[in-house]
Amino acid sequence: MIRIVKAAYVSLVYAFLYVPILVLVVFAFNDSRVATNWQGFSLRWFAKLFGNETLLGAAVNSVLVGVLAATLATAIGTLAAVAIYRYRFLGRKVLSTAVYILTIQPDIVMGISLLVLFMAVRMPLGFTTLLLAHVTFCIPFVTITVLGRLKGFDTHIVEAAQDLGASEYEIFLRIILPMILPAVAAGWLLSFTLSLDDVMVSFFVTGPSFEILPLKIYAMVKLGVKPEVNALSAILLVLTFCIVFAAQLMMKERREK
Amino acid sequence: MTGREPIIDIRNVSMRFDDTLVLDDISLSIANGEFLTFLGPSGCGKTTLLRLLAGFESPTSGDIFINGQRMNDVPPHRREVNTVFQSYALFPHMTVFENVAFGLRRKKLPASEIKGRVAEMLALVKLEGLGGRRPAQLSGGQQQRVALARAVVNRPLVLLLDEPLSALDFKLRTQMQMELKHLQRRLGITFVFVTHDQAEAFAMSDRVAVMSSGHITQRGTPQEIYENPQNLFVASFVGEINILDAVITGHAPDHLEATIEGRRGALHSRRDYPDGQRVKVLLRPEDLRLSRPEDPEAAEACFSGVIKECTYKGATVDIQVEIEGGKALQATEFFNEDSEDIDYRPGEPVRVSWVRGWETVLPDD
Ligand SMILES: Nc1ncnc2c1ncn2[C@@H]1O[C@H](COP(=O)(O)OP(=O)(O)OP(=O)(O)O)[C@@H](O)[C@H]1O
Ligand SMILES: [Mg+2]
Repeated sequence: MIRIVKAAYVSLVYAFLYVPILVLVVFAFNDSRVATNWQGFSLRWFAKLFGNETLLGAAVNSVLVGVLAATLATAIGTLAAVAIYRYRFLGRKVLSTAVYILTIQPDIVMGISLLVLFMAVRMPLGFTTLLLAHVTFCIPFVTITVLGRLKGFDTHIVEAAQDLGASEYEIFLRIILPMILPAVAAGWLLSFTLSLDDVMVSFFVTGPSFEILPLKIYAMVKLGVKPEVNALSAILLVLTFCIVFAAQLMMKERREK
Repeated sequence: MTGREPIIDIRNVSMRFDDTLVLDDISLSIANGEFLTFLGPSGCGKTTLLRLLAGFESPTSGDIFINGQRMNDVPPHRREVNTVFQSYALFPHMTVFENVAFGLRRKKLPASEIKGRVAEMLALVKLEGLGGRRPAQLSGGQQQRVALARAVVNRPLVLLLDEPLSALDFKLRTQMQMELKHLQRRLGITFVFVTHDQAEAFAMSDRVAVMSSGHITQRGTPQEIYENPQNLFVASFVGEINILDAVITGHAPDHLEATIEGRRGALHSRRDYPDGQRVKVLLRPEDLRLSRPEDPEAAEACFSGVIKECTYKGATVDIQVEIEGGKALQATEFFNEDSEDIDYRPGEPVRVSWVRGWETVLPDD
């Protein structure tokens, strides 16, 4: 009896999470203008989507910012994590606490504060400001991911390397980096997805010269959800699945080695 | 140990963490080629002392000399010592070969030499053919050998070992103790070993330094320490021992007269004690002799008592005797072919004596 209740409960939770997504994907193939009734299978919304230059342009911009922001944030965030883990310096405690605060503070606060900052230094809003903003909010997530893995290690491993004659640089390159690589990769993927679907911060810090996908979609759905948006969402969904799957595969291979 | 110059010289070293004094004025010389063990209970500062030698910490005061050079502020990677960690601390992402080669590669030796030395080392610790495995694919004992090989392959002046065998089961541990000792003899490298296991320390070491709360309380060969403990701490830490209360009552030409646990008796001591001095008499279980009241040797026995319990241990029997006055003594008797009379029953009356001169007398403080 309890097992049936448990199974039902779990099914319900998953249904709640995934049915809307499923509906969205199904309606991307609906041969109808309005999304409420099913009129038969069609790929016309995908065709229409690929004919929409501005939407595609925004998508390319989004991916570009995502890749760049993830890469920069991963580099900076990883080094920060290693520094916090490895060295005792003034303000270390403050820094590691600040990292956690940054992840829970409301996006709107970060958006506005960055906007104020960019205005203060008279930076024109556009690609650069957007990239800087994305790098900023991705760093703490990378740092926390990497720090989590570092804390799981036997502290004597680094000492053993020192004992065997490794310099600081060699310790980083040959011991720490290879051991945290899965976390670094996970941090990159996390940053990429965060950057790709950010609306709130981006809304404040980008200008009309540089359009990105989430903002574009946001603008489009104000006039009603078009089936094109469904099609786009379906593509993004498949893309996300691929990334998550790749990440899982990578982690698994590492563990088996 | 005479005639060999010290490879390590620890001079008045103290170590303080925040407010606690962890090492208090330690001085010790370790001879080249010696197998020295720091033996002491948990928290007495053994690991801290080893970390000072390795260079992971530097002493609050005092000096450490290795091979004649002052080492206080020399970082670990510039010291010709290597450490075997208790947790092994193998590099999980490297193969066994890469682990062992790590130190040699840091020295930028030619690849062919590295290959030869690693192979030789793996053969020495009986790990041939496992060079391609990762640490996670090895048993505990094999990981232990990799840790050992990884340190020894660098041919350090001194090898530091911090309880390297404590994670192994009893049988493997005793086997590894013998292997370590043979390895040390064969390589001639100075080994500084740390353990809280008295049997382990005695089985391997040339010399043992017994530590207690930041001090070295006694140093000497295992035999010296076992037979002549200099204080109660050492006596009771290294093996089972019976401690009797006594008061000196007079002096005879070759012994001291005393009242021991309320009975008159004779004590033999290297040190002289004044009349009236309260002392402790220490006797190892194997030094006690039990006899039945009707036996001839019972006449010169000091105590009479009652058998409480007998525990058979194969070649020996552990016997608990309660002597007059209520004190329980632990005695160990060895089986030998022509005397089966150690077959005591609980409740049986016995006489207790000991081999003259085998007692240790310490002041009672
Ligand atoms: N980094 C440190 N900071 C503060 N106190 C420390 C530090 N390292 C060790 N201590 C303290 O120093 C004392 C001795 O520690 P140490 O690790 O040397 O003991 P040990 O003899 O090796 O014990 P065990 O047999 O349990 O390993 C302990 O009381 C410990 O709490
Ligand atoms: Mg220790």
